[in-house]
Amino acid sequence: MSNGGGNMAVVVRKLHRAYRMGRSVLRVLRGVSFQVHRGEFVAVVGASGSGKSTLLHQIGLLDRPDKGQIVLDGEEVAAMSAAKRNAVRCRDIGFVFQFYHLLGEFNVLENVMLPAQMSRSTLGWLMRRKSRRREAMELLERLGLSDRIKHRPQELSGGERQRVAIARALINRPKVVLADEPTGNLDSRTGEQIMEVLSEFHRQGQTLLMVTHDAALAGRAERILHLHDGQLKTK
Amino acid sequence: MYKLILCLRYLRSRLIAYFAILGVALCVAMVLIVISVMNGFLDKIEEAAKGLRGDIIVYSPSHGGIEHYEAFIARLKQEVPEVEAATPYIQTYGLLRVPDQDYRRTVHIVGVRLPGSPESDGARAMDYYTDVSTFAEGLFAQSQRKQPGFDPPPELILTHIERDMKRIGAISADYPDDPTVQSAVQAASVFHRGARQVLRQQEFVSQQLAQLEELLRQAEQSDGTDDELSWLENAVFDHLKALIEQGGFGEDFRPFENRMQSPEWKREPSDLTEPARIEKLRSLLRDIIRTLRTKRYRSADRRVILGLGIPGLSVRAPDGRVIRMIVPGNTIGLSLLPLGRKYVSDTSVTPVSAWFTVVDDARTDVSEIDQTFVYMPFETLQKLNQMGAEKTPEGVTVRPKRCSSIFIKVRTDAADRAALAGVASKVRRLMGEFGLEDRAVAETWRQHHAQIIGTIEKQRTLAVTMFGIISLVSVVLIFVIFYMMVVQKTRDIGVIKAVGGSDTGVAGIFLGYGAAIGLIGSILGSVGGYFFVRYINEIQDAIDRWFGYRVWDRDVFLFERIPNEVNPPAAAAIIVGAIVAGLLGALIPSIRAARMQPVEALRYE
Repeated sequence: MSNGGGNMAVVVRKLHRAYRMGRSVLRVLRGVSFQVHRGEFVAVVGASGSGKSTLLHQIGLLDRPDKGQIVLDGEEVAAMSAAKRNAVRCRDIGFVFQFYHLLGEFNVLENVMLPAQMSRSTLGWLMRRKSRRREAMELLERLGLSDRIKHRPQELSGGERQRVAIARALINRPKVVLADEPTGNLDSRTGEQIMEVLSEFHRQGQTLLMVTHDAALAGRAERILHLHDGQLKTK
Repeated sequence: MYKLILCLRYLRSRLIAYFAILGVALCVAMVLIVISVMNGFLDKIEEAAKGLRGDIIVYSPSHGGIEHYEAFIARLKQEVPEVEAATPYIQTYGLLRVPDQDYRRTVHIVGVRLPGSPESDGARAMDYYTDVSTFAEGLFAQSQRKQPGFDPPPELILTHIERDMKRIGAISADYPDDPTVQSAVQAASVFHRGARQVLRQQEFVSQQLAQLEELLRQAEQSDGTDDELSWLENAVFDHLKALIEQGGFGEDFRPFENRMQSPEWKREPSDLTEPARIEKLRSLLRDIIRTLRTKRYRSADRRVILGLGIPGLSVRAPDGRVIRMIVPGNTIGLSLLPLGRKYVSDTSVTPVSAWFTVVDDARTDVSEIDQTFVYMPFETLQKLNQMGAEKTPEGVTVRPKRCSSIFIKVRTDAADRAALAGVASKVRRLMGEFGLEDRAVAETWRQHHAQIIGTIEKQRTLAVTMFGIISLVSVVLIFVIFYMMVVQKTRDIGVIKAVGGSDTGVAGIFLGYGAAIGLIGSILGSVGGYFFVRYINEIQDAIDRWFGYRVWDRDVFLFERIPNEVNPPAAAAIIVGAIVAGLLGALIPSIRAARMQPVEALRYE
């Protein structure tokens, strides 16, 4: 199996994705190719409907491309079986969504620990529960949420919820964190704080791939890719 | 692990889950109650059928009866090792009356063999009705007696009458404004007092009789010396005085007293030899004893045991307690048509009537029997019903004595369905040898009661099917609830998948949720159903008290009480069924959740 070289966290080659809308076919991604180095912070900028989120979903294995390759940490993942993709998604990818997507039935700590639980069998989880809990607590402390661990998501502010989502994305120490408009649902001050948090983790070596329509926000990234009508444009 | 936690959280946080649990619980309780009552009903019929008539019944469809039954029973017990006991039985119809009351009621009069009844020598090889049936358990005064019969000791009955009077007093106090109860209590106390008087006198008679019999024994051993003679004479004289003064039998015993006080009696001893003098006293004693025996309540063959529940002879208080108005010690009249006689050209049937002393009452808990049965000694009814041997004036038997049926009890190891059929065919073979095959039929209890058993079995199937269909509602209910939940939780499903949850993991959450609803619902339902069945009679009594409506009518359902036993295997099957129903209801929504694409799920608004 081909891979994208030793220093690449993400390699995307000639990615195509189209959706059938009744009789017409909407070609959202049309041969997108790019690479993200380990520890790099890359922003994909594009207008609404340019295919940013679709691109992120392909890389995050939430959807399958029609054509093309995705190599995560040297491993081709686009054509993997569903079970393997689940495992890779759980272990190697962290998601931060615009609308947080926390489970309302779980409290803050449980939401953060959800990917950690999924990555292990019941027995394995029971054996490592304490250490994983400690790690989750440390993460939450770093994010300033240590006094909110028993709270339900609906009892938190937008910024707090997004910080919980970041903690959840980071708990399994993923190869790459994919952020989809992470500040899109927040006021500018809170958005700033969230970006500061993400930047802080990036400074510590976390690979970040963020999609946004906000050019100012993208400015925080080391590299900016422009997506236009399903293709990357160099500016 | 997260599946279990999420499943429990969904269970706790969703009001709709409680409704689903309630739905399952109600369905489980409903099916459990129906199956328990119906099965209990069938069990009761089996118990009652076997308890009343044994395992195999040989009966004559005509009123002519079964001849040579004594020899038949003797051979049966000899040749069919599975037979534990066999007893003859006579059943006919009659009219029951109460002296000095405008009361009459048609009844079944049955002749049963009980220990201590007067009987012929040939009968001794046969068993008693109590060996074949559970008759003894339902007796009022003699339930604790090893050998209950038609001649219970008066003091035993007296104890029960006294106790019954107190019990009735308590019932009266509980229903001071109930006119039916009050008038029944009033009538009961009159009859109880009458019976008590009779019984006290009987107790006295029994004591006197025993003592006089002892004196006779001594007199028979005595040589008639002066001392002995005068001691015996004094003793006899004292008894006579007691019988006249305490017993109130002046009319009957004063002549004996007069005889002993007559100058002839006083003079006679000196004129006679010693043996002649003692013989004279012995003869007097025998006369006294003979007369006293007639003072025991009606002669031994004029005693009956009443079914407890004959309308008009007992009344039920609203809570079901029985107020006996006719009790042991009272007298009743019976008239019966001697149906055992051959009626060839003769069209007239002359009834036979007599007064009988009630010596006990019997309760079988089969209301039809308790309301219409009067039991009397087998040989008495055989005579009254003209089923005794018919002889020519020269003494040649032209027709042997007969019975209506023979009840056969089979050993426990041969009492199952197949074994019993085998024993029945052995009985039939023997009937052939006695030439009974044309005149009598042998049936197992199940065949004998086939109509009623079949009806109830069909009713049970129908009810279980109907309630089973209703229970499908719970499957649909769970399906709808889960479908709604999957729709509501679409985003959660997306999140779970986005963080690495598998299709089976997501399906597992909803299936686990369905199984949990099934399990909790069925546990609650079976516990609720169990207590409902256990206290079903109390619940019915309460409904009756508050609303005056009785669901279980003993006239319709044969038995006094609603069966209240829960069958554990049936309960287990229902619980498993409910869990499967929960899983089935959750299956399609779970598959839908599992197949949901995470991207679509996350985009769901």
